[in-house]
Amino acid sequence: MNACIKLNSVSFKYDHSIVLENISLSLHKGEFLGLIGPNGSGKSTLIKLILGMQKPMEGEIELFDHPIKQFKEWPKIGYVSQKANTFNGGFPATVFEVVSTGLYGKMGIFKWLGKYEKEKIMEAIHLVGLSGYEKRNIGKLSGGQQQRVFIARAIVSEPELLILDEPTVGVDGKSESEFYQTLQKLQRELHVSILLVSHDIGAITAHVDLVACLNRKLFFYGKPMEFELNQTQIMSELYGQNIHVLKHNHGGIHYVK
Amino acid sequence: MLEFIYEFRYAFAISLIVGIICPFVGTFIVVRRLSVIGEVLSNMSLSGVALGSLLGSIIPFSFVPTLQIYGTFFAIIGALLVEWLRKRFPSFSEISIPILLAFGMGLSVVLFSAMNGFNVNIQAYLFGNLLAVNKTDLITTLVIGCVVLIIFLLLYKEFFAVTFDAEYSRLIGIPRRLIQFLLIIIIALTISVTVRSIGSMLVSGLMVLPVATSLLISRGFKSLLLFSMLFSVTAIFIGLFFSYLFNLATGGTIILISALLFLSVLLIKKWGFQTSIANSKSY
Ligand SMILES: Nc1ncnc2c1ncn2[C@@H]1O[C@H](COP(=O)(O)OP(=O)(O)OP(=O)(O)O)[C@@H](O)[C@H]1O
Ligand SMILES: [Mg+2]
Repeated sequence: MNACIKLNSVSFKYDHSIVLENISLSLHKGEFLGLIGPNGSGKSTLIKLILGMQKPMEGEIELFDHPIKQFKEWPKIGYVSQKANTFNGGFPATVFEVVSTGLYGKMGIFKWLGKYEKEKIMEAIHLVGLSGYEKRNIGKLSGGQQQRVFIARAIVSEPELLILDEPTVGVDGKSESEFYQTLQKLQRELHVSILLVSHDIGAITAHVDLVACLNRKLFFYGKPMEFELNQTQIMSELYGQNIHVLKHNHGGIHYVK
Repeated sequence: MLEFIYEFRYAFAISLIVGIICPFVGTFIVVRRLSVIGEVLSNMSLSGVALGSLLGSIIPFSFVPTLQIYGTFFAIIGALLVEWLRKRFPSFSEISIPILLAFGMGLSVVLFSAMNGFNVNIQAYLFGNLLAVNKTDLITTLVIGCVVLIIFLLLYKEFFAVTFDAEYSRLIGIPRRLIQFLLIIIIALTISVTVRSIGSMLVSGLMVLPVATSLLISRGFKSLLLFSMLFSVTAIFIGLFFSYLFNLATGGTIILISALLFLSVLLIKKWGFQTSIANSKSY
């Protein structure tokens, strides 16, 4: 009931290599799920399946209690791709223009931006801390700032589900903690459900309600508390043997082979 | 002056339309890194015109309302081929350009040479003649121009979204394929209608030069569009006037003025930039 995302024994392969095997998990309304796993473990692929950009080989996917084939309410989902800021850097578009595209699906065809939409756009830009940058060319912003523009584009349509694929890559520590605060604010105040892919295990376990560890198969799916209890074991299964968990005073956790 | 405007009222009206739609279309071409597509499509359009006049001279009573229809048809086919080849070779998307450029050129040359002896004015299609346009040309241009502009105004935000991030627009429910297809049709229509007045050799210049000039000074997409139009209309009017005054080829004069505008903005910008550096150094 009330699941935003529900995967039931989903498998997927590109050409001949199996990338995802028998994945079952669900994300309920208002929950924050953190997805971790090494490079090439299939995290982005899993998200592409959820967004309907790829079709599963086996298994079923449901979005908001509808089989994905029948699902039509895509504006309910906000998405920031891992490759969001690999666009053509010389593209002449302002921050405002890029963020406004996040509303276009909801607005429908033949409509122009009105006062209400413009306010929404300014609000989203403000929420990601880019007030004053509306008229700047997006190509001339730093990588982290660009990333925030794409987050603003994802949240401007007030989605019920936000899917973020490594959005904090290239974002400095201070902006990163602000970013998590923003997400938690969205989650608490607007009851947005969030699926976040990240490499930063420390940050993930500190902020999410659920952790999923993926490396082709799902190695762990549960509460951060349980995850921390069995961390060493899970991590060595996930990343291969001989991983030592290093804890730093500043709270970060690193895994070294 | 007023006499000049009255005498060439058709030319003025046509150039105003062409001057507005060309940079509009050109903007989308440039940002999709397809600047040379104009070259390809005008060649295709030319071979369409060649085929049309060949058919007209072989089959005596074949009904050819205007050769532009053949040109438009071929330009659309060319545009679809460009997109198709771009999909076939995603990592070498520019490869479609030389392939189709050569094909269109070869086809035109062969078709025109097959017509040796039939008196066809290729010159008029290669270089256009804005000062010699008539009422029929004006009506054709007006109709196509309005169609293009209306589609653009209605679908501006979809065109922008798809051009900026095709994958994302599909996700938010914009019919990406349809929008891209419409954009291609519009590009082809614009080119075939412009060939008549500016000439197939120069269409591409009119689509790209004002946009290049505008790129130098715009930060956003809307301002890019508006400045491109401003530069293009300016160049066309000045070009028309000069070509009349000194009896020069119209299309060529317009392109030269466009190039001159580009150069001046480039220099002004560079000069302005250096002085601002000089200023900041003095602090
Ligand atoms: N389009 C594709 N065609 C074929 N194989 C692919 C394709 N995209 C990804 N793969 C393969 O699928 C596997 C999973 O890729 P995926 O991008 O999902 O990993 P990821 O977990 O997101 O990694 P990262 O942390 O580096 O982003 C990789 O082995 C990759 O080589
Ligand atoms: Mg990935």
